[in-house]
Amino acid sequence: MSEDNLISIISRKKARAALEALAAIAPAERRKHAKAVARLYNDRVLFAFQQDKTKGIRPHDQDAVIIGLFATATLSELKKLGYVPTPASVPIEDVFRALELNWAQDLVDYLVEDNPNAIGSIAPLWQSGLAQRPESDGIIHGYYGLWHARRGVDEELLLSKDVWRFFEVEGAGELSLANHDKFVKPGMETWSTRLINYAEEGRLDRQRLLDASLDALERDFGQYRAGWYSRFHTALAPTADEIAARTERYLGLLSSSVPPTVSFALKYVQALDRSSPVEPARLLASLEPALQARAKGPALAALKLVERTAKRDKAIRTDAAHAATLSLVSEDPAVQGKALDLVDKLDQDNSEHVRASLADYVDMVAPSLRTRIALMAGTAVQQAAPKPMLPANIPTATQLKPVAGAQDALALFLTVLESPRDPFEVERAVDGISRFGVELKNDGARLSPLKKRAGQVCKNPGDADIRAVLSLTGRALCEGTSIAALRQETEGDYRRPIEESSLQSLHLARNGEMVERILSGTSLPILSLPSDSSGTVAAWDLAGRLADYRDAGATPGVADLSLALLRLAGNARDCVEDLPQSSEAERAFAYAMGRDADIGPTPELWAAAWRARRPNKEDQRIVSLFGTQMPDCGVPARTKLNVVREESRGGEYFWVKVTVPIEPEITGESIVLPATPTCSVGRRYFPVLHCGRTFADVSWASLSLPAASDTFFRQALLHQDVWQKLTDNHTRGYLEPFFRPGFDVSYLAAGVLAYYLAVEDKSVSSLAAEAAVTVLADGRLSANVFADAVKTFMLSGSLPTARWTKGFTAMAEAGASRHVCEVIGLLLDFEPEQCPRDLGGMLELLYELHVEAGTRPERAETLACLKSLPGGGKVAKFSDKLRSMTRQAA
Amino acid sequence: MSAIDRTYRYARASAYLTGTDASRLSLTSDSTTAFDGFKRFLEARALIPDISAKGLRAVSEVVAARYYVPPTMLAKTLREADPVATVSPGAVRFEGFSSCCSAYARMDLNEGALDVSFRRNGTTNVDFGQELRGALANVGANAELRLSIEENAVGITRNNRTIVEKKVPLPSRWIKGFAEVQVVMANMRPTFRLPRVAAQRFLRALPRGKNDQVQFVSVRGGAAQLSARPNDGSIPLRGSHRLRVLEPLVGRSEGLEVFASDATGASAWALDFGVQRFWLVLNADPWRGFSGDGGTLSGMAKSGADAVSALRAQLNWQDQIDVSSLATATGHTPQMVESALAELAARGLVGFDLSRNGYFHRVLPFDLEQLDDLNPRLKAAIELLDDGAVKLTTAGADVTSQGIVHSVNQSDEGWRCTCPWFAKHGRKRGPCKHVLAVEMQLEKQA
Repeated sequence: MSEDNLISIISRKKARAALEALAAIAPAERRKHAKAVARLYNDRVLFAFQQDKTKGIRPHDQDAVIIGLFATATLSELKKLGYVPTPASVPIEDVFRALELNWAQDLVDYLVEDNPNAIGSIAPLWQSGLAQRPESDGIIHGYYGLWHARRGVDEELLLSKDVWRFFEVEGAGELSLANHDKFVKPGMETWSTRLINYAEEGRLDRQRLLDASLDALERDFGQYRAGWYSRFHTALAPTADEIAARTERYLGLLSSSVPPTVSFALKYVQALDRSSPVEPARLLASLEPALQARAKGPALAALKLVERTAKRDKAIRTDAAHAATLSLVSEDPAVQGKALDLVDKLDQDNSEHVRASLADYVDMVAPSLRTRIALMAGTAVQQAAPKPMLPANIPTATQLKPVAGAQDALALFLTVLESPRDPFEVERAVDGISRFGVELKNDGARLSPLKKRAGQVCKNPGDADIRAVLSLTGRALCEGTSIAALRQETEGDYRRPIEESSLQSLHLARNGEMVERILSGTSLPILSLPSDSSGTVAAWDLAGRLADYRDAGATPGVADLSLALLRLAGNARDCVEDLPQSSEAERAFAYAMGRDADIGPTPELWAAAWRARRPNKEDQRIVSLFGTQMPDCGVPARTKLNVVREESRGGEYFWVKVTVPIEPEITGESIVLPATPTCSVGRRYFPVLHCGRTFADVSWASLSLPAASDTFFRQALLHQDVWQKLTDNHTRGYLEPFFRPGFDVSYLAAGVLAYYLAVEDKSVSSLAAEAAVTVLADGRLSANVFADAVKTFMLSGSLPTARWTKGFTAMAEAGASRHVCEVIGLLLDFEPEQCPRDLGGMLELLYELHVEAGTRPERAETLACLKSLPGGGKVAKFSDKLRSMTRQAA
Repeated sequence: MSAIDRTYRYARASAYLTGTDASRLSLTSDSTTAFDGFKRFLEARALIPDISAKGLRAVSEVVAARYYVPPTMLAKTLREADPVATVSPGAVRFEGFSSCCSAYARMDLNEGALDVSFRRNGTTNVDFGQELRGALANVGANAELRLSIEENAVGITRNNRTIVEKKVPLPSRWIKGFAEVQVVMANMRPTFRLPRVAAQRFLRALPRGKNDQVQFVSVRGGAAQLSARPNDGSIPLRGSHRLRVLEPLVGRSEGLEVFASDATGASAWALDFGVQRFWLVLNADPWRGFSGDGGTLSGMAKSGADAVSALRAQLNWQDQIDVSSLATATGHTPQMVESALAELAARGLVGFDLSRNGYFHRVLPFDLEQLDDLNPRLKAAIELLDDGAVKLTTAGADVTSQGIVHSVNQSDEGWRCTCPWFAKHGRKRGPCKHVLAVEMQLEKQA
């Protein structure tokens, strides 16, 4: 049998006919063609969608190819495919019998463990006696993978044996009862319904089901999966007698490490308390975890139970009061208040035990309860010391030290090639190579580690765009070639091509200029190295570097000087008086410094020089270099922050839509555009690609225009996904500049803080809170501007107000209570019909902060807004409390 | 060797049996690790039963946990190893190591925690599964709890089988990490201590979900706080979800003590219950095992085999190993003894107790000699040395490896190398093979 003949059988015949034909061939003969069949399966069945359908063999029946696999391959070879397929149109037992395969048991053992979803297709192997059914957890996982719990599959086995293992086997990965019932399509039967129906039909023991579900809850399953068992138990609707018979079980479950299980058990203990109360001491001992629950509901319910128990048995009042103090650990002032109420009610203030316990919480409760608890505990009321502000040090500029020698330069470059998260280190590394490149180049052996590593990284730079830039730079230096040549050579190697108007291109152009200079034998520092930790280049520094270039007879690179000008510090420009204008570079620098100069001819250089001027006034000479009006290229860009709530058609889902339109419109492309308000024309869906999608790239982009960062913050506003949680969320990089000294926080920057504070990813929102604290503390951001930005988002109704409440709480905990008070006060200035939902939490926070600081709301607009707030509940309660603070003071 | 198959063999399954007057936690010891044919290790009454039970439960929870799951492993059912119990003259310790190799837990039941009626010094694995964990959650403060560790424990039978066998593939990094975490602990410094309520509040405030972002913990105004950026005196914490195991325990503790390793970024969190102590040691990243930290490499490159074997002869289940008396007994300097102890720790022969700031003797019940790649960096460094790849220079050395010349130079912070490994890890994970080779060459010439 030739390979072509065998391939012809499995690709032309129907599955059953192929099986018969293959069965007639000797096994050893079939085996010879295993590779060819596997290749056919891979190309034409598994990855058929990737192939050109008009070319090559097109199998007539995919099952015939799968049978071909069984006929030719061993089980090990099938496993190597990554997925063991089974034929659908021919019973698998017929395949094994016809081909006389002896590995049915091995296949069963393997698939039950590796892919329980496939159990349905291999069950015939044990049902027909070709294999034995394994009794591992995988069999139960197989049931969990049976969507809509269809009846008819081994029902007898299920009811007599397997169903009880449902309560012992938690599940794994996507296979669990909780997952099955959650994602089953509407109208289909869940496992929960099915088991209850069996119980109602008398085919399953109801009492055993009740006990088994409690057994499962005691088994320490994960929270999500444990949820199915508590819901199932509740769905069985145990009667009062059935609950009473399981008293100890419910009490025991109050100690569960799964919070929803505690809440579940608490409901039954509450029911028991009404029908057949539990022995008081036993109940108090069991309630401890519920009293300390994180959620407000279970903690309040537990306190209620304690109260009722103490009412029934006065002898346990001290123990009950002590138990109530445990709820003081709750972060919710309402729970703390109820706990103190109960201690009060039980009249146990004189108990040493209770007082000692109260004393532990004096500094921990909400400010409005501190005096009360201190009096109850018999301790002095202490004025809480104001918390030190976080971060403890307001950022101050520290000078960036260039690397000291060739060895340091090489070591640093190799380090940032591996981990380019710190953009300052990246710039120091490039500067180091620029300074000591010639020395390194003269000692070929010394560069050998870089040559090897840059080559490896170049082939696989990973997700960070910056690594691609660094590896190309390293390779060009070591191989003595230009970056442009390497770019051509490696075109198509990267997952994302390097766009002409990208930040990568700008830096590659700068590094390319540097490499060319080194190859021509001149070592000089780069012009664009930031002078200090603000990320800006000091005017005197740039003047000095340009002088060095002039002295060395070197021409500054356009990209390097453009970047240096984009980074030019706005302050201390007076200290540079001597501004020669003998070259275009010097003229551009002089122009950036506010002098008049002959403009042109390089548009990018002059756009950067124009951006560096203070103030930026329209200059048609720059516009004419581009031939068209573009934002920040001779004409100041005007931006606007628009925030709207968008909804799905039925209104079930809503989301925030942020736009930052720019005027004038962008009509062209340029190498300096990555550092200007947006990237190139027409990129509607990917407006921020040029920043990259890793923390390193975003952080790197933050150094492009540190002196006027609106470009960057515009990207930050467009780039955020408020609902997304990510490991190492790259958008944190947009907050980096707030921790650097010097830059003024514009309205867009304040918008970023306001927006990021409400992001679901806590790693972003907590960093935003710290950033806000930093810039509020050092006066770079005023409460007015910040409140305005928050209001833009909050009043759009596109994000839950509670997100900002959490953010403000974090800011207050970081020591910015005064600022938070001020900001919330300023936020409370809107019409009643604009009132955002869930404002109560924010009002409660404002109230507690005022109590803590001994202040009160004073602003007339705030008080008027508080008075006009619609609705009851928490909003009414705390708006009253806040206004009464002012009334009392008056 | 990337993994060894460890088969735990238990005569019966461990059990928590509730009786009318007392409950019994009967832990079955692994018959393959019983020493000298001895079948029984401990018979005792727990004096503070709820804490002992919850502590044991927490150790088992850590063992069962995989705090970081590589994407390729998502669908795999994970088999858990069993905790290790050590009975010594003054303490009973239960240790466990998470499947992901990033967290180590230990419950120390010191003098006063147990009323011991029988004790036999030794180390063994104990059968501990999900059901037992669930049952231990219900042990109350007033319960009468008897604890035993023995081969033929009063256990339960499963599926009519009396022998319980569990075959668990243990990756070499898991075994190495379990041993090496002791060396990491030995290099930690105390940072802060929180009283019970403050500790409780701190743990409750941790993000509920999995959190792989690096955060910093500092104490301000008597309370611990998490921040996204470092502050004066703060310690880094990545994967704070790993601390959640402490939450059910903290309410009964006297406080939480925190230790940190500046070199590796690892931290140790100890809940103090007076005569009992629960330890949780976290590596800097949830996806990073302790095995590659290389804390012992420089010492191993220098320390003599003599010191190690002399020290080994002196070990006798001590609760606290006294370095100076060992130095006197073996005739080695205290520094050599310290270095040799670190090596013994990496071989699983001693553990470290931060509260006593000293090592204790125990023998991890894994055959570490089975692993031929225990220290691949050290092996590679020896090969470099044997190949004559190290050429000392005035600034340091040039090490030629596969045609690449790596410069190894001294800087203010220590040795520095131009290899990718050093570029990636710096000094956080011990020396690279080139630095090790240079150290060995210098040692040879001295």
